[in-house]
Amino acid sequence: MNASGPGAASPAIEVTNLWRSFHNLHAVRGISFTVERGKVVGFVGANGAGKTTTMRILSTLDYPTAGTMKVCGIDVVDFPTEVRSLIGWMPDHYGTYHHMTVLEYLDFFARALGYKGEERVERIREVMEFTDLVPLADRLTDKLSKGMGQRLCLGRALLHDPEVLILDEPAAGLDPKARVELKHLIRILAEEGKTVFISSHILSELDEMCDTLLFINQGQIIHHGSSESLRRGTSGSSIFSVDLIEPGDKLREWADTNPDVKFLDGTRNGGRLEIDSIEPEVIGTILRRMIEAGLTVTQFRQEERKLEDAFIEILGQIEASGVPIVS
Amino acid sequence: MSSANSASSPSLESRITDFSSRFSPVLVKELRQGMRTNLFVIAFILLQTFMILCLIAGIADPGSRDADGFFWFFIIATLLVVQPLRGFAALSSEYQMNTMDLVQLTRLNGWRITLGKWTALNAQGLLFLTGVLPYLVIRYYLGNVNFVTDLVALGAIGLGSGLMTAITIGSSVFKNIILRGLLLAAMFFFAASISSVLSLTVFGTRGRGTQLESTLLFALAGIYGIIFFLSFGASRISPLSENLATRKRVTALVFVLIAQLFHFFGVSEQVFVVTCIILGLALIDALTEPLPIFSRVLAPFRKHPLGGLAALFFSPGWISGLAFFLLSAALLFGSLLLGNTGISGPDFKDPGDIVLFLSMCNVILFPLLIIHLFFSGHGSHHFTFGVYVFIQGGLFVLTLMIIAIGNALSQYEDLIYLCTALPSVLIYAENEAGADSPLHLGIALATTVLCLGFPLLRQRRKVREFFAALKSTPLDNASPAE
Repeated sequence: MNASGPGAASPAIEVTNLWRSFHNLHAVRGISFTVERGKVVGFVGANGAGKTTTMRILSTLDYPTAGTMKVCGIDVVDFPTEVRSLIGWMPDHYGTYHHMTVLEYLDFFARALGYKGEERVERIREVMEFTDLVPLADRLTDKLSKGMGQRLCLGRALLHDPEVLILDEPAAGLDPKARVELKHLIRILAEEGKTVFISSHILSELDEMCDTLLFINQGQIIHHGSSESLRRGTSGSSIFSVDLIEPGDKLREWADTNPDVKFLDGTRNGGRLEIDSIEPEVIGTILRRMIEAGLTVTQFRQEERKLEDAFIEILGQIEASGVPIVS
Repeated sequence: MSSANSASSPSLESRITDFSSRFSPVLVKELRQGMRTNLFVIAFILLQTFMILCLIAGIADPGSRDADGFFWFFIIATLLVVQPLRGFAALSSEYQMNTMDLVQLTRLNGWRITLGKWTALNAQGLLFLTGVLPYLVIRYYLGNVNFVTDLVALGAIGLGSGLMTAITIGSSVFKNIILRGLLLAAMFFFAASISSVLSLTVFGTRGRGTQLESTLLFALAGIYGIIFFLSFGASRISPLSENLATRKRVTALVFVLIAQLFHFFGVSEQVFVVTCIILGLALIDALTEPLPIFSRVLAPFRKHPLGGLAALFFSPGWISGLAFFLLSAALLFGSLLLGNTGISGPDFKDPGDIVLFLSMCNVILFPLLIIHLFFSGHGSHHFTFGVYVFIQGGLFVLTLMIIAIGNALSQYEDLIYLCTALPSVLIYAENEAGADSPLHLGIALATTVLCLGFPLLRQRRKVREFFAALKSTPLDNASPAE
């Protein structure tokens, strides 16, 4: 289905106050977010944060306890059949069959999706070429490596040319080469205008691929925005790497006397500082004060904040305030 | 996805067009997998070997009963035991291999999945049967064989194999292997008991009709059993927002109505047994269904003027299951009255007849009372059905114990009377332990009211939600487009 289909003006994914409880355990606690069409969105959180539960509801495989979830404007609970034609789901544990080759596996799912005759053969051929599965056509599916299996699983999810791809931890357990190949495939799909909703607990994996990141923790969304906005953080501080001629202890002593500077960690001749500002004028003033204090600065370089650091910072702020932060 | 360049191997097409697109995808998949399994190959070779041995024995000693016995033993063992048992993990293996979710996201619904698996196993069973046919023909030429009787027997075994396979596939939906094994044993026991009861009534001397009509009725019950057990599995792997309940209940009623036609052929006793089996199975399923309240499910009922009334009996969930129970009881009552015109049976002028009728109904309802008393918090489809079966089994054993202890005591009537709150004990008391029909009638009526009223009272919030949803489901929810 393309953008001219039902609900063409609606976002690809629309979640409103979604709850999912299992007896007394609240796996998802009133989350709301929207994913625009054609975007690649990373869904990030620790194990047990509620990623897979949310994705299963999105894939019509589970039900919300409360709230609504729509794919291209269609409610996933009331119209699961219609939603299924719009989504391609790739679970974290891909399923295979005994005594079945790669080709037969794709043929089964193509038949099950309603493809007949020449059209079926053509779809299978397209998918196999796209995922580079042609050389593996006669390989038994339960004998594939993890990387090959993930390619097969992606191929299966693409058989009906879905508008929205839901990928749950697709790179988990893959070797670096397979990971690069998978990233490449996802990038091509994104360029072709598919909406990709991809989960992981490895931030660096998503950084290069995603337009925006959604952070979930203990069933609540704690951040929704670009990786850039996440790096900038909410505290308005910046991190600098400083090299001196003097020993690193001198830098620590100087930082302790300056309230707007925090010493993070030291090296033999320097260390890392966190400055409570992102304004160039303020940073320039601090550098001048450092030199005026007698420190011989040989290098003063702003470091890009790691996403992991930013995530941990957000978690720390939540713990301190008890209020979720959603940008 | 980028368009394919069609330079790939031309043999790709020939490798996946071995089965026509018209075949069910599950059938194609299961056949491709099934024919490669060792069990199929070994069973086929063993059956052929034993057939040859039986044939040699038949040639060496024409008219030998032993060779004849072995011949049928191997066919029965293969088709009624080995072949159905291959369906033992048919659905649970999909869960184990993490493929059930993937299959559910295709256009295959639960019914097509279970039917495909059943058809594949029976297609392989048909291969076994076809492989046996030449030996059947050769035996005919060796003499002492009635070819028609053999073919009828083979047909009956084929139907039995289909039923057994449906039972194993239906119960394979339970992931726990112990629970699955116990349930399968219970279902096999149930099927065997029913078969023996039917055999007695159909092929015995009690029926007044011809054997052909009785056999057709027997086949009708078998076909319903196959549909029921496949639907049983299908409804448990389908999303709750898919309504399979209406079709299941309507199918049961259609089969019951067809069975009623046999009253006119003078086989009313068999009709009663078959009606009880069909309604009993349908009711156990209906009464243990969870209660999903989805506008998708209720909206189609609101399109028709009498849709609200239809939803009361045929929408999914145990609340409508109770209404369906009342409808079924009325049908059974009608069936008994209809049967009474042809044979001597209950005319319901005697209170004892009403006690027996109510107690039979209460036997079906009673576990529901216990479920809503102790397990009302569990909404799982699997759990409620499992608990129902075990409660029913427990009550059966308890009844046998009470009767046995009661008979061992000198004043056994006291013990029996103390336990007449159990419907099965009341049936025994009414039949055997001396008639006190007015008291029994009071107990039976009170039990019926309690069994119907308590679940509704205990779950009154859900009952209110159900009726509110029935009245307020907007019709525009029937369309997904916004």
